[in-house]
Amino acid sequence: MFKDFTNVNQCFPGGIHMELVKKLEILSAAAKYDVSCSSSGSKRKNTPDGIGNGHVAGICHSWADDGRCISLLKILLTNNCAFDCAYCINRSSNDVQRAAFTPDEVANLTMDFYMRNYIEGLFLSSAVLQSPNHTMELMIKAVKKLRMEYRFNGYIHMKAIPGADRELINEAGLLVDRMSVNIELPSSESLRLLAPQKSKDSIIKPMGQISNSILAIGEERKIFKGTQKFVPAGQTTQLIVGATPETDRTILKLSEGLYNKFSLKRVYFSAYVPIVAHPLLPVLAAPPLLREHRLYQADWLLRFYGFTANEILTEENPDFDPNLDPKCFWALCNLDLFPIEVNKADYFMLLRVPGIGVKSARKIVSARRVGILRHEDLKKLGVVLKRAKYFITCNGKYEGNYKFLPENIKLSILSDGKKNDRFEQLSIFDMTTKLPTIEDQLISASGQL
Amino acid sequence: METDYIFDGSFEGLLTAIYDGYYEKNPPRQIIPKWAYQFELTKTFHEVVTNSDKFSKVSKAILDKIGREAFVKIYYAFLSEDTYAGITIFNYVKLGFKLGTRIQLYLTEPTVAKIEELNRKVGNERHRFLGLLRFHKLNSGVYYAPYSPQYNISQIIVPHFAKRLATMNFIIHDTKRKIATIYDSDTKEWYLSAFDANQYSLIAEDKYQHELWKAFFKNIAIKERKNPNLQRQFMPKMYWGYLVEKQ
Repeated sequence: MFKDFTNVNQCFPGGIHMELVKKLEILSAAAKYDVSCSSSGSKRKNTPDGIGNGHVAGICHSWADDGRCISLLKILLTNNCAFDCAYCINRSSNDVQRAAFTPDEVANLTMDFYMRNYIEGLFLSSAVLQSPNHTMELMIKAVKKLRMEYRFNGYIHMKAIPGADRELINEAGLLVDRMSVNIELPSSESLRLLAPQKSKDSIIKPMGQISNSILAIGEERKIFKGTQKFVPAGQTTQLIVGATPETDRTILKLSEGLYNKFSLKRVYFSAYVPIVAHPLLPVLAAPPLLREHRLYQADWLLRFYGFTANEILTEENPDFDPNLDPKCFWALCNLDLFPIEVNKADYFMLLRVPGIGVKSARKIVSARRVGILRHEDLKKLGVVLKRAKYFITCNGKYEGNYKFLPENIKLSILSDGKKNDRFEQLSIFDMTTKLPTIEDQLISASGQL
Repeated sequence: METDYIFDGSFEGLLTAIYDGYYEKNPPRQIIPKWAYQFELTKTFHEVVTNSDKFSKVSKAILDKIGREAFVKIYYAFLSEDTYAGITIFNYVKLGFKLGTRIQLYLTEPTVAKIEELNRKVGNERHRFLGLLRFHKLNSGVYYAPYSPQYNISQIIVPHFAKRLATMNFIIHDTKRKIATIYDSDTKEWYLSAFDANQYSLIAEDKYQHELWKAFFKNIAIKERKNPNLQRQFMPKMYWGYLVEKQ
């Protein structure tokens, strides 16, 4: 397609630009373990002389070779780190190539990419350069240039560096759309072992500050419309799964707590990728992707399906069944509640049926107002019948074909699932339909779970 | 007796056809744009003459009786260029005049389900291209984005870019349909025009930006998690031709 484009590249003689490409290579590779890619939640409007705006639902601009979406220019300001966290590729004692962008370079890259529609905005993180304050100051400089000088109104997600001053976090919060502080590991004990320079306190403090400011400024904006927005797309966090011995239940209860206490928008999970050898870290053959997948599924159940962590995982069963998604697992443990009649059951009960998602539950509630639903109608509404049929009746009819016992249903669901052997990051629409059997093999090879 | 209706392919033409469908002696068997119609000697057909009066009457009736939401759905279904879009829209309007806004609840009714399906397809592709469209800076300073969508989505993606890139002059070029939407940052207006890239010398200055973007694209992937199937599922191969990072 570019054959009619002549090569015009005289304005960039060798030296300088090679250097920038090299930096970008190093500092995007160093940022790749941050999972968050979302550009949603901000309604920031463009200004008359500005470039860019927010899109509430977020927009993915590409998908990388690992199948993860690329929405933001995800880079570190620098990977030159003063800290020495055992799990991290950028730890000070690790022998990797170091690089640092200037704030101007970050701002210019963002603009150039944004104007070509490569990205939805900037995700700026950083290793701790000299001190947390110094690092935050440089990051703020880059973002200020974007907002003030270039009149950039696109999406900006910035990491708060644990240990930075309140004033800096506040200043950043007034410029960006989303902030996040990585909780890193699921317990303070693990944190003490693997990230000795970070403490639970240094992580929780900025998180609390951000959530308080969001609330306070939100209230103020109700009265004074002109009040500057503070982190309008909310805050998120991320933690590493599989590097430390916590159970799935511990992790899920932790995320539930974070949602309730700090009203986080998302808790991201990152399957531990063994990139550095360390006596305190487990030896894994592969990242525990299936476990990460199950945690995300359970996370959807917490946020959109009205489940509590205690319902999903009990003290007797503190870890997920690798073969079954959490909703199926729950339904099989609570068979006494089923089958339910789709023409009568309330919305929240519909949501609890495996194979019925938020969209199809809403459609069922609409469509049954004007007629009785039969099994063949449910297909048109997006219900995954091969899963749902065991748990529902339509106008009194049951089509499960199996004896209503957990073991029978589990077996037949699993034999259906075998056909689907691809692993996918789930979306709200298909969360109950995918069984990642390739990953099952990976997991059994690594012995985790 | 039912007969085939042929219209000029415009939305105005389609709504005129719906008007005719109510008042002509022969109701439509199918409603097809002229360019897609297979003419046969033995078949008779009714040729719709696009008429702005009839168009306004039908638009107003749809907006008043079935609602704005339905009107947008009809428009999206029209943009799908599906063979059955025309006749399905006719049936949908007929049903809508009976049911009013409650037509939105009849999700299992075949006509309504078909309209919903076409909407989902067109809406999904629109959303996809909000992300996948790629602009190239030309030496004239204009930003040029060629693409080849499955459905005729240019009109419904331009407003998004006109808001976002308001200070840039840009051209979004549908190479499959040979039309371009051209946005002028001085007047803040855009218009649709026939466009043949060969008539212009489009010289891109973007080689360096491509290099940077490809470097980013390559390095942001975690190779231990490589998953080409998943990548293709989100970003089907048919779109790769215009993606800088896939060249």
